[in-house]
Amino acid sequence: MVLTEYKSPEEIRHSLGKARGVVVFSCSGCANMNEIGGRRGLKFMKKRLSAWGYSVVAGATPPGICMNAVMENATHKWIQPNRSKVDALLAICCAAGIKNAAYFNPDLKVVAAADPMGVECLLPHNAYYEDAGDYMVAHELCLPCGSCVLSFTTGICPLVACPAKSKYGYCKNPPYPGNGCTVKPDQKCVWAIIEKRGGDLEGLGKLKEIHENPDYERIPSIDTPPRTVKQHTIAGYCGGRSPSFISDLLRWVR
Amino acid sequence: MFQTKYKSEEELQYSLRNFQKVGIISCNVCCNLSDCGGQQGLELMSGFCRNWGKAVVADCLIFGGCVGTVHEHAVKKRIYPHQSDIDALVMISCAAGIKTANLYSPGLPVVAACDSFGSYPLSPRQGPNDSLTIHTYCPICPDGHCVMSYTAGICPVVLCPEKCRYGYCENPPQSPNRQCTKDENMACVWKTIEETIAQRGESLDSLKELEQIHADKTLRRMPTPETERAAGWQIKMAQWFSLNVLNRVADSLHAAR
Repeated sequence: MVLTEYKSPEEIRHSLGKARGVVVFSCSGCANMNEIGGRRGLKFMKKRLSAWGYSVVAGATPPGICMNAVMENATHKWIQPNRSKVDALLAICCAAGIKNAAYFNPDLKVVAAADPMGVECLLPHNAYYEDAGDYMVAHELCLPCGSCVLSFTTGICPLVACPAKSKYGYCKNPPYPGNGCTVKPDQKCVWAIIEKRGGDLEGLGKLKEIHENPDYERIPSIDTPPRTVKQHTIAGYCGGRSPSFISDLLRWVR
Repeated sequence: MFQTKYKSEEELQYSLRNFQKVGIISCNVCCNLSDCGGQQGLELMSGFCRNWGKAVVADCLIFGGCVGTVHEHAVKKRIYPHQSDIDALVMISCAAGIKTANLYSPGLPVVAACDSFGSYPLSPRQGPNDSLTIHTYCPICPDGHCVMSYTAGICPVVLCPEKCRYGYCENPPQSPNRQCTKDENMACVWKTIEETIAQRGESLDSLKELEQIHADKTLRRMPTPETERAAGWQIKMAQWFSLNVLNRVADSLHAAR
């Protein structure tokens, strides 16, 4: 799941500028799971927009507006019929949704209501981890780097957690056993935690060589046949016009 | 959607060098739509593991490898019964799935089969061929602040070699030149952004104000709306439904491509 958080009200109002009629798309995928999108997010944002003096022309809760098919259909359904009254599209979603919205609405102002913060484990609200390592695994966000080392580090991302950004083992100035990090002394050394949890520190040296090999060749992704236009249209229809209660059902996983 | 790509054979073989019997878990959502996971990904990875001389003891599809409750239920049903026979789990998913597997797997090492690249609009194979908006990943800015409301969906942080987020760099190309002064093989991204937003009657000036808003540490993000938590029976139904129903229809998700 991509963690999304609302922007500040000042930024959203600045971004909307002189627009008056606004359509709101509130994604029922990741943003819904993070409590800012879906039906509740739409209701919340509509109330805010009205209080700020904007007129909400339409609102929809498509599941996954990062999909071309869904965004295309939602645009036809919710924006095109009201086009003369719409000045801006406010999208509650991650950056992929904003890109998609901008692509399918080239003549419309597209405003992001949220920022993507990182890739997260979507855990139940009451999940609690006392162990420092488990806490890092559960709550630290992945900022994708394209050459993951989590297989060797028991799920802790050193790029996020280590202040020295040391990816393949201890930094040049590691602490004495039991001492805090030498860069940020008030926190424990992340690599000491990884070692204690049984991380494969010996294997990381060779992994670095593998990653740095210029001839690194990925296993090709699966070559599935493209779908027909009809299938694509049906998928877009189901997504672009899905009723808003679906977003509440999806949230049952938390 | 979140883009994942397989690692190399060499890296996977090295990661699995100490293990003989493996379980394979394949995510049925983003990874499935990135053509790495799902049922086909499971079959492909099982084939590779057998070729490398490993025994595939158990496998499991998860509709959302990064969703804790769904993940927990699926591994309890499909992996836990074989846990004593398994040396390691191969996880076909993004980094969030790998982390979740570390939290919910029964003390087994978790080997990532894929690397994570970023969120991207999921387009059909014969769909839009727009390299600026559709075919670039969002690598997610560490401070979160997105500027794409002002740049017509073009992310300057990814495309500009200088990583300028709020406008031209100190050394922009002089008209009529369009080439980037740092990388002459490409056009200046900010030139393209300026021209695109000009068609909508907007200018780069508002980005300067946005920069000040982002720099203002007193401003707070809007709070999330208060919501009630899912009840125990709702979570159980979601777990059952995702394992037994959604996993079976996951292939039809590809229709969105």
